[in-house]
Amino acid sequence: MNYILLALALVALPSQAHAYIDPGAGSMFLQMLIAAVVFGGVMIKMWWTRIKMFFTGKKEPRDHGQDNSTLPK
Amino acid sequence: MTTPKHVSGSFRDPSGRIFVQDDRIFRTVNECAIDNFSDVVNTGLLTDLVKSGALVDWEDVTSEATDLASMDRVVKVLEHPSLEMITYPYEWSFGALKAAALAHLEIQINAIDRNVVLSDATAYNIQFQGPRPVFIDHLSFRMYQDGEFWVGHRQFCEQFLNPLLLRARCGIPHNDWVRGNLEGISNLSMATVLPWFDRFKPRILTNVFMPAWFEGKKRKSTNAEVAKSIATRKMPVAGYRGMLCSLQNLIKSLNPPDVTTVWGDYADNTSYSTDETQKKRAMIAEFCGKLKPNIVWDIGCNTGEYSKVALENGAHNAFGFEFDSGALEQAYARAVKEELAFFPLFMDVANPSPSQGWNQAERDGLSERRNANSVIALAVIHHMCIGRNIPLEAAVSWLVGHAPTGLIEFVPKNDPMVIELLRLRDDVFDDYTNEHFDHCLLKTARIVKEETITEHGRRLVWYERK
Repeated sequence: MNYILLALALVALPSQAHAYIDPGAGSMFLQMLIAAVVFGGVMIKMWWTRIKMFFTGKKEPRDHGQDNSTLPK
Repeated sequence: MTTPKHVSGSFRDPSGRIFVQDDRIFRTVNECAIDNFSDVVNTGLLTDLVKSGALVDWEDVTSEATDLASMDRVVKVLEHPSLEMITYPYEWSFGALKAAALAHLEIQINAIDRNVVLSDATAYNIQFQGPRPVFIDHLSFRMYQDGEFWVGHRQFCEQFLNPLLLRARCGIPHNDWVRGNLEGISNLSMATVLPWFDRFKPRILTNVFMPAWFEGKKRKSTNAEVAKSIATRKMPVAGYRGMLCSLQNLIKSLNPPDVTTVWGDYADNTSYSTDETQKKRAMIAEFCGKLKPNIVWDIGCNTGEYSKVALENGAHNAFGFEFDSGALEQAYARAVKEELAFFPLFMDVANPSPSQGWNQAERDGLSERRNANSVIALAVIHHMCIGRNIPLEAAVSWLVGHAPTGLIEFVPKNDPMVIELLRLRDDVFDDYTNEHFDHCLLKTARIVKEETITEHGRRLVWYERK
């Protein structure tokens, strides 16, 4: 559940930063795509961990909400 | 104390302005930017960047600079050490632009690791001390907001990446294109001129072709729709950092395909014997040894060989000006490799950098930046007069106008280089003689010393303005 909250936080909250230059729509669309790819990486890693846990019988640690180590480095 | 003068190129960012007062450089920090600036300073990032030489130093002089501190909206005044000369990306060599791009990315990567980002990515925020790039805009730093996009990405591509790709992938020096459009080279233009198969290079695909394609798609969406899409998405910090590292790797891999050109090895050309070169070196050594100029302008610097002689014999700083892109690259490489206080710039003597940009005052022309104590113009006057039809009197006046003292080499018509220039055209240069050169020079200067250095009559003339 904590994984899902983290994942939702990555895509759902406003991210407008103050800019005195025009960032350009092309660059912004590209970055939305990159964000989606990085987000996809997070999701894949999350589900892969769950599948591994299902087969190995290990339980999900309770305090993953603060753990950013699932983000791709 | 004189009245502070606003630097006309400093107006885009409302965070502050640059002023010059009594040859000192000041930056005002406006109330809208002060909290952010204080937060950035508290991270320690700026201090560390100054220590590493990546950022010009600053000092809080609010209590001293009362003229500026009392201005409307100003809450803080900083002072920066002045640079020897402001230069622009369209004057830089490929090597210098590449060094500037990598310096920008290095700063950004260091910054984001401390929760700081840059609010823009303009190449004009980089200047050079010798051949070393240094960042100059302290108000471009601001605190990172969780999930924000890299707002400077497009500007970085237009002002750094695309000009570098133009040379590396298409063989076209960036200087004319970037001088023609101060915003840089757009992704749409770049996507048009790049080789078609560059679409298969992932980093070029993502940084040039895809933004260009999206830019085209954007025409079907309103800005409000684009803004709405952006506002509901977040960029993970790993994605932001990944974009910076990806560009860093791409730019490190770029090199010009044509570094060796006809004139690139001119200093070793057979038209010069060792004896002639030695005479030139000796005269420059004597000239700089006696005058010890703080700044030398080396017009037609070629690979920087004689700038180096000047620096080794008493000159403190040298700026070179060269038309040939191959020679320019070698000159910049020499300055970096030998750690010289020398920075070579692209210049066509028949068309030097103009004052341009907003109100024709945003970027100063070359004449507005004249600051040399001495000028060296070796083997350049025949290119001006024979090669570009500039009257001898105007050429001499232009060269002497650069500095109160100088060394000019006059290349007569019977020199092999001039014969080569005239081989395919009529000789319409009746005034191009030794006598007329002296006549023109003596109008505004006196000759301190002169020496004939070749059997064909090339002359080195040491002048001092009246």
